[in-house]
Amino acid sequence: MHEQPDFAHPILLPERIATQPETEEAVYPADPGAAPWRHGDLRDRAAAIAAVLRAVGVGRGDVVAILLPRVPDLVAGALAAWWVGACYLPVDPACPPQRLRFMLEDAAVAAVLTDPVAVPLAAELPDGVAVVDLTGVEPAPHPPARHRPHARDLAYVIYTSGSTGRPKGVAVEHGSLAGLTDAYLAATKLGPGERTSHLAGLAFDATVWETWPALAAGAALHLAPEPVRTDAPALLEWFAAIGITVAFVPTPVSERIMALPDPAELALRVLVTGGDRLRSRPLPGHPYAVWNAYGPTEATVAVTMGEVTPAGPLPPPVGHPLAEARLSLVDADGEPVGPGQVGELLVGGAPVARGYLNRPALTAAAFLPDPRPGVEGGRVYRTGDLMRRDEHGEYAFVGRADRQVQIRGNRVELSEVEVGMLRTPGVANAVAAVRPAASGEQVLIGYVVPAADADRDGLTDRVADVVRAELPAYMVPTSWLLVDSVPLTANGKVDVAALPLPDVGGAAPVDALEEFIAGVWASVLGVEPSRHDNFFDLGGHSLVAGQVTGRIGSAFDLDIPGRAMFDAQTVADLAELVRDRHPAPDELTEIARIHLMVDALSPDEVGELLSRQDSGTDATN
Amino acid sequence: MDETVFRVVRNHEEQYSIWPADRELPAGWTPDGTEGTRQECLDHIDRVWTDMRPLSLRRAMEAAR
Repeated sequence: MHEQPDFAHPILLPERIATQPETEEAVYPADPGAAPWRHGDLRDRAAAIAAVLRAVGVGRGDVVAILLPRVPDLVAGALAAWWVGACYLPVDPACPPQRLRFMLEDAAVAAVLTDPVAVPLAAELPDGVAVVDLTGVEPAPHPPARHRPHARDLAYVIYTSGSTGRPKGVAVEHGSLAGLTDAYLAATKLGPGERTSHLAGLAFDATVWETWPALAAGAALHLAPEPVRTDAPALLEWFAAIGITVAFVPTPVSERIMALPDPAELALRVLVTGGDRLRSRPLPGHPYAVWNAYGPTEATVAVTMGEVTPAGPLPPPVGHPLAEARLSLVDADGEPVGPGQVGELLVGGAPVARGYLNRPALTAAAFLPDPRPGVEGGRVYRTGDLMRRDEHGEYAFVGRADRQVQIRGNRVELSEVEVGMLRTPGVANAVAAVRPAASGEQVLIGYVVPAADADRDGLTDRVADVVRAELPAYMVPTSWLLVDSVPLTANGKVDVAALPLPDVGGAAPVDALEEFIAGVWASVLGVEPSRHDNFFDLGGHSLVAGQVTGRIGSAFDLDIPGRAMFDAQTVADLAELVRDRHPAPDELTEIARIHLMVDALSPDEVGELLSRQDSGTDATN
Repeated sequence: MDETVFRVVRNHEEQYSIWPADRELPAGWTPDGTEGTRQECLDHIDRVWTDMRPLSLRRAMEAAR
């Protein structure tokens, strides 16, 4: 016998959405004044687009790319693809053109649904690919018959980056999507008349569970305006204004929301989070429950979910397996690990994707025979994620099997470092990352986002003290940086590459002010200093110190005594000192830039510049 | 280099995968006769697995024609 429970969902998403009452609200555009699309509108629009798709020859098993911003046609376009038996591939119009073209070609799409803005992006596609500008699609008086999908027809394709360069399209079947929908609805209890949000990155698989369970349950889907998506306070205000009751919010933004006070009229009752490692718990007293979810795209968005309460271990676990997911933890030989032991997570059951689109070898390498007894011919997806199962049966993420962070020979779990950082009062957010230093050596860096009311002075020292008290020395970051916010990728994950690198010995001046100061040093010392070189180590002494401070003081209209050089012995420190004393520190780099420019001019050029300024033309502006 | 010998295997849906030759093959999977290094097996799969639709779907599609 073959395993039966895999596709026990006879009612697939297209059927469930088709049976919603016509007058039920379905999708609200992001524009606050716009009228909602009711299920009847959505169906008519899907039928009209389906007629166009059919006319250009799109049929069962084809892939239809959806290249649109966050508009209701995202949903209508996907329904239209299903209508003709095809699956949809969501593509973010903000995606770099090269990657976009790669995906459309790799997926061998039959059609691209788009708008006038994105039409040029879809240009240069191979012959035979229909580019459909949806603004020109008219209602269809005689739409084609709606395809009734098989549980193993593809529902969607989502591209993932993977660790080895070339993106790959994960192909997910309708049966898997139906299972996910039930699991999401069981956890969130989302029902008719409720309001939920659509805010995940457009090409990220979280949009799958933002969209389809809501429409299958008769809840209204509200498309989020772009500016609020990643801005936690603005997002909370938007939730309150709209009356959102259930929302998925990617992990880094959820962490911020959980630490914020709630607007009085907030109707939110379930906050679902996922996409990254959750490192904190909600403050007590929120009106909403927090559900943490985990899952690879290859196993249909999520395979575990668990409620995260204010009290409990950090980082919080990722929860219990969803109904259809068969999880196991195995060692390097593929043998099950003992209770409480760390193993690589294998996912079996209905969530397992068909594989990577048009990539047989890659699929065979990642989707393996399911070794569990009693399962015949089943497949498991190797997640590459290391997990442990706690005494309550909840899974806890430990790390990546293929990305063990090694520092000086020790394995370091970055989330453990971050948890320690976040425990320090005055820290709003924290990221630990391993980055190459100027020397090429990998160093552990702690990035600290101060809370709005925090005392920034000495904050990183206090964070370091907390981490040092909790963790072994090799897990304590060797460089600390204050950052105003944590940069996120389009998919809402921490964008480590966009974080600044620490200054290390030999670093060049970072701005015009430091460059100017370094220039003054060079003129009295005869050597070009780095921003961390010590003035006295380079041969400076108290007599020339007065010259340096005098020239810098007159350049910025400040009175800086020579002894200040003993307080600020490097270019970086001296720049800091100037900033502290100047009445308008924000203007300092601009003033320094003008000085540098003037210093570089010949006397004739200076004269010309001055005469131009006299005549009212500000050449420097 | 990993010297493990793998087998190319196939299930009832005619989906391909690989499995170490010295480990007991899970039920419902049949060797297709190819053995070799992991890469040799994967290269073979790239050549022979030309239609990735599960067999049950292919049959349903043929029946619907």
